[in-house]
Amino acid sequence: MKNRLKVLRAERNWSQADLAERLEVSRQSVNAIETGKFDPSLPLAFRIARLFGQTIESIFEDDSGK
Amino acid sequence: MPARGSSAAQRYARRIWPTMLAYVVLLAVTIWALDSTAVRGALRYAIGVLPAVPLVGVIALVAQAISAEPDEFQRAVWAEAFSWGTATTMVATTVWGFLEMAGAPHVPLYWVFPLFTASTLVAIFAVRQRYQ
Repeated sequence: MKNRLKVLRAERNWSQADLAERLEVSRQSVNAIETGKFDPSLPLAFRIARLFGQTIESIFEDDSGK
Repeated sequence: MPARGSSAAQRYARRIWPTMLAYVVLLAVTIWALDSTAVRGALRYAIGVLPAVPLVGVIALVAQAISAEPDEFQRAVWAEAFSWGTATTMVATTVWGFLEMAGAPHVPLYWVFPLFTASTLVAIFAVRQRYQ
């Protein structure tokens, strides 16, 4: 699933490891989510949204409904 | 931190080694005991099943490790690799079973476990590569 994680992370000057630590997941998870290869669960998506102070829809792009 | 320095997988891996050591010891004891003609009847079966016990323990440890892994991505990788390992083992043993009917040499069933372990390990590597 396409997402703006990489942009949001870059805006804050966080490395993948920094973001992983804040989300309490592995760096590999952050990488897999960022590249759109792995879709996070709803609870993790909410954690990501809360961390960036945004809604899930503004971070993740639902391309299946198009 | 969970899922970083010491993941659930690593914690369980440390418990797998003593189990594998128990397997090696029990296997040696079993081979030695079954070689003796003094061991007969039901005792032969009781001794024969011994090496299987720690191997079942290993499977249980791996299953626990997957469900205890706090990182959902790592859990997904494990679960997918486990599925590939299972599928590979099912296909290989089923195909070989029928080939044996056609005259292929008999392979003892205890090879199923090493086959499953090897194919699962290869699958973990392959699945991780795909997510790189």
